[in-house]
Amino acid sequence: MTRDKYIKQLDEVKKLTVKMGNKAEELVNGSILALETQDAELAQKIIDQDKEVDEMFLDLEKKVIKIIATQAPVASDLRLLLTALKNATDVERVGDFAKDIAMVTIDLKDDKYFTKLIMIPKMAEITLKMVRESLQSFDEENVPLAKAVHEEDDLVDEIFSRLFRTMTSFVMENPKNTNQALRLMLVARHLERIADHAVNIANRTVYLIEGKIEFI
Amino acid sequence: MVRMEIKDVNLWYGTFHALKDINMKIYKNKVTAFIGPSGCGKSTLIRCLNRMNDLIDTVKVTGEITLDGKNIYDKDVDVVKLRKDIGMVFQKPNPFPISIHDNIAYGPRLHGIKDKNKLNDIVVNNLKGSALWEEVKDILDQNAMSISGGQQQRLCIARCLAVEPEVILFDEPCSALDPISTGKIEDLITQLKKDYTIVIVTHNMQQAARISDYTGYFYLGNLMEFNKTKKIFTNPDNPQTEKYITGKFG
Repeated sequence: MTRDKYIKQLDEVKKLTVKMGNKAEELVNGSILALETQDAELAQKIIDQDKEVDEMFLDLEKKVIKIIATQAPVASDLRLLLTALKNATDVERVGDFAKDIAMVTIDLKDDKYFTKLIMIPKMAEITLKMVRESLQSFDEENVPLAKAVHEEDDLVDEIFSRLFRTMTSFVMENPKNTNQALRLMLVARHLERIADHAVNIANRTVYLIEGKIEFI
Repeated sequence: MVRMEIKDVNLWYGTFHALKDINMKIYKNKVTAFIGPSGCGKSTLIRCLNRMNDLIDTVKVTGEITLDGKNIYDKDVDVVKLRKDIGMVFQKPNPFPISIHDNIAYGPRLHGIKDKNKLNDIVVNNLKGSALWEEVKDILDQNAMSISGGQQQRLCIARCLAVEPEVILFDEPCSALDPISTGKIEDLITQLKKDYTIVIVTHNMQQAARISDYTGYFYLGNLMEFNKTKKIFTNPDNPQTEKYITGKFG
């Protein structure tokens, strides 16, 4: 096999993307836990750790640019680099959403929740599974798994709509609930967006393997 | 539209089987690139397209190569006319050691044009056509060996254009040139395809990706894949092509 160094560089880019994705996933998980338990300290840790994801993103971006500039990648190598770079952009946004959710926890730290949080953790559970599986589909180059991620997105959208109706009724019952309801709605919106990013990553696995640019 | 067609072509150098059952179409006003590792048969095939291999004693060719439907290996084909219709530019610039003007006028003169004004027009038009005019217009009487390698190569292209070919074959036209001269030749090839059909052999993968419309990948005398260049360089059908173009093999 020729071009050993180049092959190692490609492998490193892939590993870094997955590592970055796992970190972002861990942050979302922590942010939801902090929200459920109203743990402002944990929320602050999540906010601080988002920087790590940003740094990993910049590092990965530099590595990809260097490989494109020096190795003139084509075919599956080019598809891998483009996929990794675009996935990293999605993952970076996932990290930002974890931070945004953590900020809601800090805003609500002294409030008593007007309802037990059920739908948000459920939504988070599915969303996190989607992120995990989309990254796994990229790592293992597994198209059926990527396609399964897409199906789960419908469930997230459905819970989001239900949550919207529930929050609306809480506000209608007592306008004092407005602040909390709006902030929890924001969390749900962030989770819904994270699920969309997972779908983007899954779509790209299909591109990586089959070379087709399409929405599943 | 198909300009040339290669049908079941086999070629032997003595007992060495250098091309094996090659089938492909060369499309009009398109650039077709041949790529593959050294010794894969790409240069051998391009030389079949204007019967340059006839000059080698031990060569035996079977199959058909047509130009506009006519087999160029038919007995009644005038090989001199064929090589006028299908011109060739070689790896190393090979201008004649005479003036720039006469390098271009040589071919048309040989084909019977005597009128000086007409010859001058041919020289000017083809120097313009090969993007060399601005650089040599004041030194047309100077010996062609005195200009740079990149300029000499464009002069060779102008000389080829002067006899009004239909197809132009380029056998690694940039491998002896620096990146700037290479860029000029590539731009020129892209312009020339509006009027001519072009076939190019290149070792430079990115060059094939940049300038060609179709690419054939050869290995050990076999045409492994013939496809649109865009397809070859983003998602080739044959895993062997993939290995070669990504530099992991060959």
